[in-house]
Amino acid sequence: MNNDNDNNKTVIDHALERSAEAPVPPEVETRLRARLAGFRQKLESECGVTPSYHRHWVLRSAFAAMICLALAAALWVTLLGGGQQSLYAQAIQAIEEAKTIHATGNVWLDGQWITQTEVWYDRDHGLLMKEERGGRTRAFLDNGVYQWEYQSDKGSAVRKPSRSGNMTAMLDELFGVDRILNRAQRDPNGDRDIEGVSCRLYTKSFGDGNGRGLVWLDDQNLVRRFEEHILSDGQWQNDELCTVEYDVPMDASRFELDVPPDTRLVEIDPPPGDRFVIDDGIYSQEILGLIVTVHEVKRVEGGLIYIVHSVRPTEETEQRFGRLRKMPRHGGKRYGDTTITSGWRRLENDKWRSHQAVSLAKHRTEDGADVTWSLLIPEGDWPDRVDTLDLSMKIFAREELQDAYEAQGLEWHKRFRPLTTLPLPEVVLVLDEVLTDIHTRIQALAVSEVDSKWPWTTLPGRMLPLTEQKIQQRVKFGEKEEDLQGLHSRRNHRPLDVPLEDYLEDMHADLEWYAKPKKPGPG
Amino acid sequence: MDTSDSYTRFIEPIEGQMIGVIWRVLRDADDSDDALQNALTKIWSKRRAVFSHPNPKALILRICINCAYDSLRRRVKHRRDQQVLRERVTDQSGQSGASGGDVLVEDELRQQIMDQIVVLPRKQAVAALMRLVDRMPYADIAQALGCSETTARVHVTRGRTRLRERLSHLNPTGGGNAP
Repeated sequence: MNNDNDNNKTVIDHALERSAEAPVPPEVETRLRARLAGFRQKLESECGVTPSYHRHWVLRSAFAAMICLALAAALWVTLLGGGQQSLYAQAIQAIEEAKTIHATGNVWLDGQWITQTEVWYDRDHGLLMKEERGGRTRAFLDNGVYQWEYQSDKGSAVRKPSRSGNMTAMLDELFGVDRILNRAQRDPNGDRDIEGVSCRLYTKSFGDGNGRGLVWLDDQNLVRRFEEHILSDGQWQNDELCTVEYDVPMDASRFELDVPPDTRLVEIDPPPGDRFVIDDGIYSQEILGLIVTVHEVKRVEGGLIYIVHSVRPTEETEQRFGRLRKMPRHGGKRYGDTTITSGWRRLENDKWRSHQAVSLAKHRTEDGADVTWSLLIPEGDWPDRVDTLDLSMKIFAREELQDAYEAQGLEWHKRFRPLTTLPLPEVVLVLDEVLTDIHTRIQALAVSEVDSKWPWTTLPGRMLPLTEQKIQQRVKFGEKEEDLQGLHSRRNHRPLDVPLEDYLEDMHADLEWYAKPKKPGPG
Repeated sequence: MDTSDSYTRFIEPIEGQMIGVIWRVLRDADDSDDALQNALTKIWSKRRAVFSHPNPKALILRICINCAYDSLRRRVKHRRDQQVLRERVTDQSGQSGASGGDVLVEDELRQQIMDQIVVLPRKQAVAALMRLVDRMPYADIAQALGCSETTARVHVTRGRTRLRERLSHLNPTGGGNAP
């Protein structure tokens, strides 16, 4: 009989053991812990109200509910037709084909449906969502020029550049398309007329049978009505209802900002030069389905080199695997990342030199580029002055892109020593001025993420030894305690939580920590 | 039953374990998020039973593994469907697909194992995942599954034996060809 002490372990046993030791990526852990925190809140404030998170297969929130139906409506067409298009392509097609969509979202309260959310979408004029809940009004408007988010309780409307050129991504942000359509069953017993149109019923259960969704499609396979029911004391009870209309006339004035006169208007535009587009880069190269771009290289006092670079998927990668944007459901997902390596080089007389890269800030742009600000600390034997930077880098494909390379037996990561050689400018900058500039720019970029669950823009904190709690946490995940003792890590912070003084102090401490002599080696 | 402190008593101590076991089965951020959400939904809907269970923590972990297992099944099925579709398209276009690498890399191996885990009977699969991926003690597995410790061992052993049989081609000593 096989048991755990079996000496004759197989490849499978070893693979499972390694799997058991795999640590959870920090971004995933953050995301799942956020979900647990929500659950805790619900549990601790239990008052008989069913938690909204269990409305899983359609409604992440009533605010998002409408738009999901608007999008889902057309998606049913190809799904039920068994087409071979990807869901993503279907979504694009759906948006293109609907002229207008009007949807309402209602919740069942005190024995009646109460309208909480309305969505208007007009292909020519934009998208407007309004939610009334608990005496508060929230509105989201994208009219093709600007995107506005209004919140009555804050008394403010925040303006950003429009993303209507990327409406699909915007809709996708609010709703996971594939989940709504997966595994629904036809139920002819529930077919009915809705506003004079004969509709067919499809149902789906969720939450281990404690919830069910009912969707009625018309003869064009467009969603006309969606209901969600919750099982309570053995009986199905109404929970949420959405109704959808198509190609109804809409006044263009609806897509103009309409807020109370005393509303504080906050205009957020990326600082000039901080759009991080490829064309503005001083170096750009396509590698492994990714585009690596260097945006800035500067000389800093003390022989330091300041560099800003970005990595983003190529158009082909996005077409194959879908676009990644600053969407909560995408979290920290990325198709690739980079590490600036030391570029270690052996010199004559047994001397060597290299760079130690220290991250100073990170940011994801609206169009999905991950930007990193870094300082390179010289180590080893360097001349007093150098005029060029040999930029060494490791580039990794991630997620589906990595899977695709692996499936073909191809390399999914590459190391370049160097990737490129860049000229260094004559001017030598003062370190504190550089750090202050980064802090200012990052603050501006982070303003739009104030209410975001996922921090796409971060400033690192000071390098600190792992806490006992963190060590024990990682031990639980299979790491050896002796390997963790003495390790240091940096915690990322939301920029708006980090005053300039703290940032300067932390970065100086970090640079000092990194500059301590360490065992040299090739990198 | 007052469940207001249940989180602190039963869930908080195993938060990391819940996250870890789901992640190790699924290795995908979105899928893990969904599986955890499903697990929390089930815990919520059966919270009174869960929190009065003889071993709530083990039961909660079982729910997490069950949900991860369900998600894994869906993913494997989806991938197979896609594979069939790709093969059809390839056949029609007359082009050959990309050839797999000669070396079975770690993730492919893990994927093959998971593909086989999802076709095991549920109890075997869940017990195997609890033991092999989450390294739970048999006593906890038994309480979570509502069976004796001996039965839990049998589930794990049978699950592992079936895995070895179905993946014998991966084992140099298993009668198949080594990768």
